[in-house]
Amino acid sequence: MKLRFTAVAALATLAACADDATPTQEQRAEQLEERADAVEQAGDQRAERIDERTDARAEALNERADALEEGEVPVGQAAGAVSNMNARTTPAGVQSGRDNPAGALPPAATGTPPANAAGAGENG
Amino acid sequence: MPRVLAKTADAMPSQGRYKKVTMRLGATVMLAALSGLAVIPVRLLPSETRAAVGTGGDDAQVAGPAQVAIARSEPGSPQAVVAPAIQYLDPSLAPDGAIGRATGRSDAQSVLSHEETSVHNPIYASMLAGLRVYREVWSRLPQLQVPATAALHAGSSGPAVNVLRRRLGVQAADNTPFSVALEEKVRAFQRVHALPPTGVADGATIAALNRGSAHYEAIILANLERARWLPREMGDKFVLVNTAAARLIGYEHDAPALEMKVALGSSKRPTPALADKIETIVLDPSWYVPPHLVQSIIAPKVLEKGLAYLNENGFVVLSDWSDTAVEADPSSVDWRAVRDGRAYARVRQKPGPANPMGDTKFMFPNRLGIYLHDTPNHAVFAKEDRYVSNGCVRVEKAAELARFLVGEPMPADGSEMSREIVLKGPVPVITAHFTFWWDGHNPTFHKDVYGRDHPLIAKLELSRP
Repeated sequence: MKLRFTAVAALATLAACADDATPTQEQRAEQLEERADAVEQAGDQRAERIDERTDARAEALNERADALEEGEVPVGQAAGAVSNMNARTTPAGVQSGRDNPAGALPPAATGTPPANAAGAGENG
Repeated sequence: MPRVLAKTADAMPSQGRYKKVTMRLGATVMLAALSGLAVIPVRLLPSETRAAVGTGGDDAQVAGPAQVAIARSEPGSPQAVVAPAIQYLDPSLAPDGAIGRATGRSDAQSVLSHEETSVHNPIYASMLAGLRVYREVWSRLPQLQVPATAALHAGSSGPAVNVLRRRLGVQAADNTPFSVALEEKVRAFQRVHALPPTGVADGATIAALNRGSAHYEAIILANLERARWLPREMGDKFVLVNTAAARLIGYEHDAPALEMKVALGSSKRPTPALADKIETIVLDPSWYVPPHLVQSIIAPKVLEKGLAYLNENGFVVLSDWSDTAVEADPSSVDWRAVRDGRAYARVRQKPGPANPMGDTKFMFPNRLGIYLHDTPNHAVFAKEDRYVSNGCVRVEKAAELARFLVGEPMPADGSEMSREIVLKGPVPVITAHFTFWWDGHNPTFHKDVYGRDHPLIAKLELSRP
């Protein structure tokens, strides 16, 4: 991690240039080290989540490809057709219907709708 | 088939947005000032607030330019002016001159004597012609009170029949039985006055006769007022939806070129009076469910039947309200909170036979969620009572309307995909509540299903001789 490298470099600089690290400098170095660890840990967790999500997405797409090959899904319902339909039919220009596999879909925002055409929907 | 090895979540490309510019009060006042009108101190008359979502009724508070009452008057003279009860969702359609009529003891004769040359729209001109004809045919008759007895019909006789005959201007000696000529006259009266043309003078017919022509002239004047609110320039083509008649008329060069039935908002969710411009036509459309229907219909169904209900009915939950929203995880929604109104979910129904938009929707994106569209339930057009929607206008002949708007036959449908047709020029669409209509041959009243006549007549303080 870049920050960790920077922190270690700072420590090395302190060690090389100073005769003896003062207590304050030592404390500062420790803080930098802790911070670097925290950043590294968060980065690793995020990377892991992205990996899991992309793996699931790839797996689902492959399953769908298998299903298409085996004729289990009508070609007319392929992702592209649905996607095009949706992209053109919304007052707000919403694009949707992409081939999001189960488990890879984002959560829905459930806050108050905006006071515009998208928020009003179509009363029907 | 190539396989996916890894892929990250994609950012959705932004789609074209529909934006509306809302004319603010200041701009309207400036327009008035530029056009040499006096912006007078006005007292906007109190309005009854509708509980339903439908706004823009004659008794509804409306936003935007419609709240600005302008009249030709001496500066500094406070005067009550009736604000137009129509929402100019496209500000270019708002009249830039005298919009609201000052209240006063105006009557039909004075309106006909002082015809407003500043009002240029075919509806207003037609209304004036209808008023003249109505006065010639019905108001000149003796305004007698017919005794409220049992129904009078062919063969009936007695004092009530004698009065009825005089009231309708049918010549015959007293005590002559109810004749075929009288029956025809009763039927003609019924046709004009929104009554079933039975030829029998029943209670409703006698009540209408006894209300007298002054009552009906006041209604005509209220409708003339509504006609004054219409845009002055509507171009070569425009679409008028008369919510009182449940009919749509397509005008071309100020003459009717297309007519059809429509189904409209129920009395709980009346179709509002509005003026906007149709920009696009969408074939095989999706339906974006309004939040109140997600709360009242979809959330309870999900709670009852589970998330499978959504998929089984072609519903998908969207991630947010933006134009880059994507399909979202329906299990992330607290459906109980949505049902209880503590949370919201954006839901779309895919195109299909159950989609209430039918095959076509006519888009003029607006914050009211009101559109024109086809319907899968065409049986509704065989009924007299077509007030069944949540406010939208369901059209009887969507393909014909599309052809009228585009100006040429629709392109062949060779694909299963939804298609959007952008009109070369946006076409004005007006929804208005005309309870009186003149088609060039017959004056006709329509039932005031939304109850907008009486409040407007009261606000206008129309005189009744």
